[in-house]
Amino acid sequence: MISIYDFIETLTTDSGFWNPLIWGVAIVIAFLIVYIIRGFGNKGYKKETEQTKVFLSGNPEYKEEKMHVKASNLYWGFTESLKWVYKVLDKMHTGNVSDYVLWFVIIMGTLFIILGVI
Amino acid sequence: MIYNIPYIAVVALILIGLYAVIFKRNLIKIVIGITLIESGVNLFLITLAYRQDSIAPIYHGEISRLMSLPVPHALTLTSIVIGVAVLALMLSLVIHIYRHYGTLDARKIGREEE
Amino acid sequence: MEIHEIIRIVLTIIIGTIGLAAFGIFFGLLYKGLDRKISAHMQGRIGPPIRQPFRDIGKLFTKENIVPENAVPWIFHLAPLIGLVASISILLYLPIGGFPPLASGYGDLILILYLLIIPSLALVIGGFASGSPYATVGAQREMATMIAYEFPLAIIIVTIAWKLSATTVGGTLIQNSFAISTITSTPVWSVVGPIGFIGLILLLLALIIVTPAELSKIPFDSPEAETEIGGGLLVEYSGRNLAMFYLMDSVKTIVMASIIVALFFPYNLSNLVGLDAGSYPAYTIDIIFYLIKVLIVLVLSVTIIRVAVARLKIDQIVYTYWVPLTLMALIGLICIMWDGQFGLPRIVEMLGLV
Repeated sequence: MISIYDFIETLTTDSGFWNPLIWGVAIVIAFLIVYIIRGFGNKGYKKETEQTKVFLSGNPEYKEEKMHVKASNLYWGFTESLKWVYKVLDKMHTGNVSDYVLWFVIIMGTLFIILGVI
Repeated sequence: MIYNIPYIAVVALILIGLYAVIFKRNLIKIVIGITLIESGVNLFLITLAYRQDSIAPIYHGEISRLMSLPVPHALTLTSIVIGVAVLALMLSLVIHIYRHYGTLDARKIGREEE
Repeated sequence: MEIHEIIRIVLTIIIGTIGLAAFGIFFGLLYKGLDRKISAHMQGRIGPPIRQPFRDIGKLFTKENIVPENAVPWIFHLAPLIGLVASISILLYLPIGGFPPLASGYGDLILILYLLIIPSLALVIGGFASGSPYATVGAQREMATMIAYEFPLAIIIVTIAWKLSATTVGGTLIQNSFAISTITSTPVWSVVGPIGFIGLILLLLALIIVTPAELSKIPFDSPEAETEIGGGLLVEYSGRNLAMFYLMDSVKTIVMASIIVALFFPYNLSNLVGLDAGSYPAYTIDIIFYLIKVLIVLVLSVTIIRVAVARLKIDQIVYTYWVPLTLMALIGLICIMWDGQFGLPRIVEMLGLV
């Protein structure tokens, strides 16, 4: 077993430090404070009435499969804005192993030339 | 000069194998090309293990002659076995592809989404 | 490290956390009220009184805490707590009021960079656990915004730490360049030359534009768009859970403004005025100067941008942060990198003053 002084000492690199136990103490105290503040609020609600239905702002409600957002559509905002990068990359991926080995040979050759000459 | 011939053979094997992988369309020819590259690499490993005027690293009873390095020999054995396993897997996949698509042309398979 | 040292440190952390939680919540809500008042006057109306956010929290505590029927209850209740707890814990590592941080030898800038992700992540997880399609769309937009603004933020922080670690003060290299105490003791404006000055201005501009995205304010607040997706990822939250998210937003405002003040403007007024350090007038002047600095940073980065522009779409947000802002941060990085040749020590040496 490690000694207690090794357990509680601060982790240091040459450019920074961190002690996780101090952060753990702060988290526990902050959790207690926030829990006490939260206890001032109102606890109950009327279950199983109109209150617990999901807010759809008046739109019609369909069955589950058509309403759920699929996981493959989750990063739509990200891929839509970088579409011009993904279009070029898509054309490069033909699925043919000969093309992939050709790319490999070209990049290795360029690397050897750069490292040898420069 | 005569001691450099195995190295030239290694370069020739690897280049021929790379040519077959990049420029040939038949899947069986691509598999043969991959096997050629593996043979070239194995030959390279054994050629590196040679010291001048040495014999094979096996004890006969007398230990007065210079011996070539034994570790690359062991590595090459392992590499040959790995090559056999990869060749078996590749050939079985080629058989499945032929049963599914009916052709072995690398540019005609895998175009289902368009 | 004997036992009374450990007890002293733990007691400091405990009392400090309670004090900083009160400070963060009180001043966060106060600055939120000031922000609403100033933006209202800029738009030609009177606006709510400055005490309005306190009344908002009081009102939210009297409402009912509704859990929708498709939600996962334990995540639904836990997400606001985790967000607020992480925001309060960042305050321990920042120099509040001109004093050194409370946990000053125990955490550095990399830890702050990681802890800043947790409040946004709590919003995302709460949105996914709500069981509503509007909340899922809002959570997806918040995730894409987080991916977008982390890139320039990382470049800025790494550049400042690298510049400090590559300078020599009095003949020795600076150790621990990621620690906040090092950055506040050698302000970064004093180690750069003219080209590095332009680079630092570019980095400061990039950090000011990253701040509204971290705090989900217009023009980057499409996760909580009220007019588009009916409230975004907070649509199913009500009552005391929504009050926790409201408090998390205000504490995070104080945290981001403190980071900008600590990195770029860590100057104290009491040495300039000539008061002796450690006396009560010096403390008072330091705290008031710090509060004024935070107010100026907040007005510049949140309020003025908020009333001037409209809301951007999510793909425009990702494009804004990944193409122009990253290029600006990289040009700032290159300027500071080239500063070694033409920096202030070299100019002084060339002029023959050393």
